[in-house]
Amino acid sequence: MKKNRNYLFFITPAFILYTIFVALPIVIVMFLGFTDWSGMGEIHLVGIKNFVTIFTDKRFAPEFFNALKNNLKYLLCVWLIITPFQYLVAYLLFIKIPAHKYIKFMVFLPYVISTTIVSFFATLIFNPNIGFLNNFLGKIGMASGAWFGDPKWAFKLLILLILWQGSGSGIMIFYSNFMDISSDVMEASRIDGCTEWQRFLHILLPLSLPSCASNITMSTIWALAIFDMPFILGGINGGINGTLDFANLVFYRYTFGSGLNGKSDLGFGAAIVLIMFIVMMAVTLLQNKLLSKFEYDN
Amino acid sequence: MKRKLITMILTSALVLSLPIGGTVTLAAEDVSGTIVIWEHDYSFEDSLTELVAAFNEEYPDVSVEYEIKADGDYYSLLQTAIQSGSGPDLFWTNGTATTNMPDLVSNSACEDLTDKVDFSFISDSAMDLAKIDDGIYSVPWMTLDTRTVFYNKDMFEENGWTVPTTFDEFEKLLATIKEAGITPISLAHDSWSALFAFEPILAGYSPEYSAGLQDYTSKADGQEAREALQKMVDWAEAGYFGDNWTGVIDNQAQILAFTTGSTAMNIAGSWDAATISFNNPGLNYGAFAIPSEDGTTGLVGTAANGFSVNAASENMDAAIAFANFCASKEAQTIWVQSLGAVSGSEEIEASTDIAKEISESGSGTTYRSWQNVLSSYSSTGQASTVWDADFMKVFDGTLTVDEFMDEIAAEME
Repeated sequence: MKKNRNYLFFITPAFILYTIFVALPIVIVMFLGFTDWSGMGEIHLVGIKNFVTIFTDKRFAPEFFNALKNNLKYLLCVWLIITPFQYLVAYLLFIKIPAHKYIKFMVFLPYVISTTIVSFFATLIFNPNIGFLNNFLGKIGMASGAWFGDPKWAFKLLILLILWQGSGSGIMIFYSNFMDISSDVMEASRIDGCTEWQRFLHILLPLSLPSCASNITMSTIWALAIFDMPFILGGINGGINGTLDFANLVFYRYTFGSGLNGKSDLGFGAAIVLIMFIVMMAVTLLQNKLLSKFEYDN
Repeated sequence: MKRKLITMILTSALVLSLPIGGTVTLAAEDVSGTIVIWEHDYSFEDSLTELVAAFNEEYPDVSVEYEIKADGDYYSLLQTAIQSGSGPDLFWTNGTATTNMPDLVSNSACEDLTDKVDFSFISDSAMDLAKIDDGIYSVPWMTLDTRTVFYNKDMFEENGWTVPTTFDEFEKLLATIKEAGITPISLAHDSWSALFAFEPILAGYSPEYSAGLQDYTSKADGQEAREALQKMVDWAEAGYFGDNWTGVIDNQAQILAFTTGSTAMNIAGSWDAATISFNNPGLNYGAFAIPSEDGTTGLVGTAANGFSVNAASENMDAAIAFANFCASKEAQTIWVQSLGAVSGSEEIEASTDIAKEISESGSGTTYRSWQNVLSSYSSTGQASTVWDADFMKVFDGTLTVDEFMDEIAAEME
């Protein structure tokens, strides 16, 4: 009997495109990580020199690990602050607090503004010279601040800004999940005399765990790949005392900027990317293992 | 014998037809086609438009297109475009001041312009930006990119402050302005902005040291440089750059603080004059050089670099013709005057009052940039990188001045 291979017509175009634009670049980056290619001219293999530099160079290693530490700090904020905040707001919208429609609109609005524009707004507020905040504080007799130029404030303000700008999507995912829960179950719980707390604890929370998994996974990728906001708010060198330095900023500096030897170094940049790729894989695998407990069969 | 004679006559005729200096140029009517130019900043757009218009009067058959690539990653774009064979015919680089042009030259991406462009109008010091080994790879501009102290004339007059004539007077003026509740100097917390303040402070603090930078008899980490940097750190701690200046991370906010009258002075590049006038056309401001203790003044600065020719240009004749035009007195005058820049040539008069004031404030003395020494005399090639990465750490208290200067010394010849 002849096998039906029609499915090949469906998967082949996507397979070819995926191979060319995703798989192949990853393989090329892996290769470049072992070279000293500046982006022009001949490519020379240098073995594991780039990786040795990343871990042992007295200038680069502390910078890279400080940036990585900031990425992980941000990741912790995702788990402990941003996701719970998104969940709480989604729940308040779900139980229809007063003005919930207006709040829903206002919460989602910043999400459609690009991070570059949000960062520009932040500059207009927090910049000590041209910002609104210091002017306002001065007028009411309070002390002004350096804000993003103050190591005590810089990271906290960045998280606050991300919370304001980026939480809308997560809130909507949680909210949609709540709305997806059968009204029969909710109605039955009400008839059986459940309190609001009991309904939350025994019905909403367990049934919304899958959206928690999706939200946390997406936020984790975002946390490890953050670039634009700290770049605009703290500059290319990662803000004051490296408080706004993240792995992608380090990558940018050393690949396209002044870097190790004052010129572009795509080989070294590729090595940084490979290390970040491994870190991301490790964090995502670990996280998925934990989050798999959140999944359930309908 | 007859053939030999004819060959000699023809060769002599060819040699005699060359202009002095050996530059070979095609007649304007023989040059045609389209060339593309890349610039790196919008502030040069108007000047570029004027330049192209003047070039087209001479070369009407050449169509010149320009693109302003005002991104932080200009060099990456340029490198990628050249590598992929889609690079512009002419492009801006910072010449030998950074490693980008030498990098392009080592990859045979820049055309050697020796004997192809007439550089007779360009000064020797400006040509340093264009020369690598035995070749010439760009056409410098005769603008003097210097650093100056812009000051608010009205504010000075209202408060009875006068332009200082000694370094000590300058330091006392800072304290007086601070006591009056006004921020003395607008400065951004980034390495380049701080450098453009450090270099004129260093020139005022020790003119002898600054003069020695020209031939590197003054070392980059010399005692005077350490002391001048320490002075600047002390001024930062005294609030002379504003109480919250660490939060001002970009040059635009630095300029705005001055143009809106929040600060009395702004130590910055002379090229910022155009932005200051644009931001606040009504601002009555002037410029002075920080004086030394004996009252002498000088300007720290270099000429600016211009365009290089892509070695893979498909319209080499037109590209060379444009480069040759850029090197002419006519083009240099257009560039200097349309930018409102300080002139680096006695034959070109600055077009704005502020440019003339800056120029006069130096009393004819020009010092080499301290940062330029880092680029030119680093044994490891990394001194400039170390400076860029760590300069602000001195102001943040993460590094002491001596620790920073020791780092620099370790990278120098």
